[in-house]
Amino acid sequence: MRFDRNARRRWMNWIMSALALLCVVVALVPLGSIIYTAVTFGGHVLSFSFLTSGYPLACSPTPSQPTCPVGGIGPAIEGTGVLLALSSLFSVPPGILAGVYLSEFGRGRLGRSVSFFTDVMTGSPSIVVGIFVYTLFFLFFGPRGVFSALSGAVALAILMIPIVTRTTEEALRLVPNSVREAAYALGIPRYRAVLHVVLSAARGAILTGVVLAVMRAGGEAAPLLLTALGNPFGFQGLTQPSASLPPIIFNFGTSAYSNQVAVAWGAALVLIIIMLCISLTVRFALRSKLS
Amino acid sequence: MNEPNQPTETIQRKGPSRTGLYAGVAVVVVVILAVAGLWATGYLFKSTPPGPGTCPAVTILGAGSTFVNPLVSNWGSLYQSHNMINYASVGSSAGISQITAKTVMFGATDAPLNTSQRTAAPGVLTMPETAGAVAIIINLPAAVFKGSYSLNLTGAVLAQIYLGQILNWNVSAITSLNPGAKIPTQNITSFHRSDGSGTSYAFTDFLSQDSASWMTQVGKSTNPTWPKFTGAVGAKGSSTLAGDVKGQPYSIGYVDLNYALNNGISTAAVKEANAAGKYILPSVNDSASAIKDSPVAGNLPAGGGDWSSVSLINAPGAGDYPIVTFSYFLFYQAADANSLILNKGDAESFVNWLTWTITMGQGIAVGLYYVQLPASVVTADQATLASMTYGGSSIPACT
Repeated sequence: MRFDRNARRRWMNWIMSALALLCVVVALVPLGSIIYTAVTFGGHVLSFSFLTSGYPLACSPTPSQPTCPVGGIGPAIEGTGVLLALSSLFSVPPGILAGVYLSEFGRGRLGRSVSFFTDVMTGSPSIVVGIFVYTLFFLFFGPRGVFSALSGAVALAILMIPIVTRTTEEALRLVPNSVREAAYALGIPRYRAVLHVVLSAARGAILTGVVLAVMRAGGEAAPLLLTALGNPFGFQGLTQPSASLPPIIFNFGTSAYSNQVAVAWGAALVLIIIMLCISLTVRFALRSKLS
Repeated sequence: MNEPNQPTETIQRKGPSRTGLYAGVAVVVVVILAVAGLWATGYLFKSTPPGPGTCPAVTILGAGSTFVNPLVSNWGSLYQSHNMINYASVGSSAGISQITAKTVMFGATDAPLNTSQRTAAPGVLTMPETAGAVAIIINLPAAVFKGSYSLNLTGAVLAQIYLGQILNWNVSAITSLNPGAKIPTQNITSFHRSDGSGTSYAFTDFLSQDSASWMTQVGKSTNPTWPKFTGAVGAKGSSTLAGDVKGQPYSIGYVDLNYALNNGISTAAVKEANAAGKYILPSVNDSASAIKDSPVAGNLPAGGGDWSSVSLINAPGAGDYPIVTFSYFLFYQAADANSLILNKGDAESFVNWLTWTITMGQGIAVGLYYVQLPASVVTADQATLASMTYGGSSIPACT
């Protein structure tokens, strides 16, 4: 009797392990498929000059010119870099401060409403954020200011703030209360306990949240179509339209010209690689810090 | 929660605990210095670099039609001057709304402004800058075509297919147009654009002219209410539609000529609109001759006039491809009405580039399977450009 039950347990264990493994494989299939497709169609255009040279001109192959030059995505990489740097500048400080407020100080009506509106912002579609920033800039700066790197960065920042806020709040809540109490016991004022003890204990998790937010913003195309617009010359100044990677993938991906479609695949692959690199770097940096 | 006792504030000490503060201040100072440095090098606030010629340097911003995006981008790069042309491919309707809001110097649209759009944007000029042909693309097995034979279709048959009245390839309406071809007995999958599109506008304009029942039941529109029936499928964007037809046997669809020719998709020959009634395959040359022969080409409205009834469909000449349509640039007659044009110099450079697109730029268009404008249309465009003003007076030419 006992022997049978053990055998059944082992069988059950084996089946469940197999099922769990199957689920992991199913979850990994889309990721693998995306990377495989991007490498298949975009791998052959990748080179250093692809990252730096200008966009390809539309070109139909002719007998005298059977292959069309592929060009590159230099302007989009420059634009994406500037937009992400600016939007991080706009979103990380307020996001972390709001997270600290929610976790450490936010009580009563104000705390509840901040929390509520953070949730609302997390759920708002990115295209709506784009329309909001378009309208905002139109009202304050007039038609000249609408399509600019600045408006694109603000739109991305609005998408990033709730992510930074939520992850900061969650990270700070994980810091044990005994740590705070120990700080108070030493006579440290509350603001300083938060700044030096609680925040530094949660540093890694907050950084992860910031990286998540940057990665979310880096893949956004919809809000940029109404704000940063695009620019074949890369970044031309804060008040000028700016290029970025996702809209280029969309535009070239739907082109009638095969050299532009190839560049879209290459750009998609580059975007995936950039995001993986950021993610892995932060992960390894955090691991070494913890050990 | 207990508030921390106030007296604890008094136990602050000087010394090591301040290092964090100093580090913070140092970081802020470094960031400010870096921003100031970038600012000083002009990175954050660049101005357009000066170049050859007398036209002042300016960045020309435009937005609109996805159809002309490859052409306008090439025009921007190949324009032998220093002006930077930035064109955003956001769609014709967005192009119209952005020029109405004056957030761009020019908008581009494949369908002319309708009455309400014209009322919303007083002072906007309409200028055809290129034209396109709409190709009927089909996916039928090669056995249907012997040698260089291609499928023949008429506007009336296409209307019946898209109305759901012809559901199978092997019906007398189609076989009678294609004597000798082995038309398969298969159901037709007819793809149409699910998004608003200038291509749909030209296609439905053609169907309306060739079929009374299409005119009354659907009419011409950038985003018509497509008849629903088994086999009618929507696709978003030209490239998706072209891919769908390529991947779905026994299907039919319509795309701009450049999508069909660049992707090697079979096109159907469409019956020309004269007594000879030959079947014409879409090509740049037969489309260009269609514009030349079109009665409207020599009799275009003024730049500020009503273009909504301008149509190049069914040109009467021999060998003219019947489904051809203009694409338009939209900009303000009074250049200073647009706040992106800061001074007379900007207006001069802007007009110089527009003039270049309808003259030198036309040769580039042909290489990309866009249709070249005939001389009569170029002359009308030049009159439109000459009617532009800055500060009430006409805009002098620069080189």
